[in-house]
Amino acid sequence: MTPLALAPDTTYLAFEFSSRITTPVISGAINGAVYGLLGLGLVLLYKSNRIFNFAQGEFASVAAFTTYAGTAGFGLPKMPYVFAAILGVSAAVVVALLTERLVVQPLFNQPKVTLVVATAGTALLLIALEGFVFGAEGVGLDPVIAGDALTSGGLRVTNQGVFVVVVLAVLAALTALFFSRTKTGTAILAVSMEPTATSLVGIPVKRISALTWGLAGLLGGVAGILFAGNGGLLGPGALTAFALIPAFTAAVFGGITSLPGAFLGGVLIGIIQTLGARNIPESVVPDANQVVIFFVLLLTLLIRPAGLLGKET
Amino acid sequence: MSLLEVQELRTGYGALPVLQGISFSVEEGETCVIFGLNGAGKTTTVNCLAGVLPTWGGEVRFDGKKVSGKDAPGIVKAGIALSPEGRRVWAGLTVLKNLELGAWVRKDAKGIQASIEQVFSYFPRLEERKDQLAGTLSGGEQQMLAIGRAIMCKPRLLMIDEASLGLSPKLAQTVFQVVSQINDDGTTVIIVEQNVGVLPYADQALIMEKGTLTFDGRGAELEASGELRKTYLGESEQPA
Repeated sequence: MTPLALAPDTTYLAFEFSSRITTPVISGAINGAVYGLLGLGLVLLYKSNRIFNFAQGEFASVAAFTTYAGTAGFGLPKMPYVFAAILGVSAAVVVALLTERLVVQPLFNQPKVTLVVATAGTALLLIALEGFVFGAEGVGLDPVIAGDALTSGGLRVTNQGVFVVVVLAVLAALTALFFSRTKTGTAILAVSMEPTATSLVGIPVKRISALTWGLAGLLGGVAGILFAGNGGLLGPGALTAFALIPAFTAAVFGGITSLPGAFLGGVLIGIIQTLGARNIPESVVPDANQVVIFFVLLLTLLIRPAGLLGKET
Repeated sequence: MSLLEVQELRTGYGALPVLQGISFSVEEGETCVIFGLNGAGKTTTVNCLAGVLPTWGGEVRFDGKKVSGKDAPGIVKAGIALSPEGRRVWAGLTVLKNLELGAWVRKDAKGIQASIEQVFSYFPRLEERKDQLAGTLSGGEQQMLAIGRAIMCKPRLLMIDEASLGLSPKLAQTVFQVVSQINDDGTTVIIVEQNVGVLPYADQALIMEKGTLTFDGRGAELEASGELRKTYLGESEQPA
């Protein structure tokens, strides 16, 4: 080979590195931020109720569908996106509060597994209702902010992507501060440890429980709008199918009781997922983007069940 | 007028009645001890007074005002606090956070700080361990913390359920002495106990059996009466 022939080769290699590593890392981190947001809600309810909430993905869907309905109008005047989004998040909060009142409270003294199954039932009910109202085909929700922040080569970072990462970081920091710095945050933890003793010092346990679920609905709602606005069709159950398992893995990977852990876990899961999808050929592992997530979940549980930032298993 | 007046109080679990209508009163500034075997209804009584169990019938008046029917937070605000059976401290929070959260119903930051100092003066061990998680404390220290947490509510009536359960006789005595000191400092106390070592500190003593009161008198009378031997050792009327 002559030295001249080398030059195009290195360019090719450099391009390969960018499309195989750099691009997936950045776009994966953005996808992962949505998992982290959904994971925040899961961690919140795990910390306070010691359960995994299967309905979290549908709290998110409810917000996204409501936002879509607001912007599309449905016979009413179309709303500005911001109002529709506020309405969407409010709808998610209302659904979460109703779940707390109608499902969680009646099962307060039952074994946790009963409550977990009940949240799965709640998710199925919500999926059915979404299908009933919006049809099974799915709808498309616009991004919160249209346009691109950056395009170079194969890399494209949308404004929405940047926005998602910022929102996730802010919400993760705020919720972590809420638990470590405020009396109400500490009271939520106290209820999860000793509900009766908590009421004995005058803390209104039922109101605290409603507050926790309302917060989970808020976090889920924000996640849902951002996920659906990332492109793709929003169908009934889409978030449960495509985002709940990665979000759960993110929460476990980051440490199921750690809010910053959900943030870190989400971003890392997104990166690992995209790297896997780009670099593992379909002929070797079909649907590698799904498989790597379960692989990470399995490895975490085997090697470090407390997760990256968790203190307890 | 007594500080606490209990009239024909009835309660139970689900459909199962436990208290068959008990009446007693506790004078302000005194220590009242409730004795009785397991299952006699002692814990049920204090849980009902604390608002953890619903009142089925009868009435409880505290400082002349009706408090039966209030929920647990309402009872705390009225001035009655319970250190529950089994301690029930928040294992995952530090000792200091346990105490701070105990003062939930209070808004006076200075008063809360003073109460923390007071708890530490009663139980110096808690101050040494204030940054430790409550779950890592020994049983005796957890008991101290449970009592300390109840004090943080700044109650006029402090109820302690099974203060000495699982403690060594020496540690039990220490706890009783502190409780007596809390009483001397002006808080009325009800203690549920199986340990007769508490008797010297009792102004008033109650004995419960099968959901009813079988003895209500002064602590000194109880010692002389032999009722306790009958309750705990099952001695019959005939001499052995």
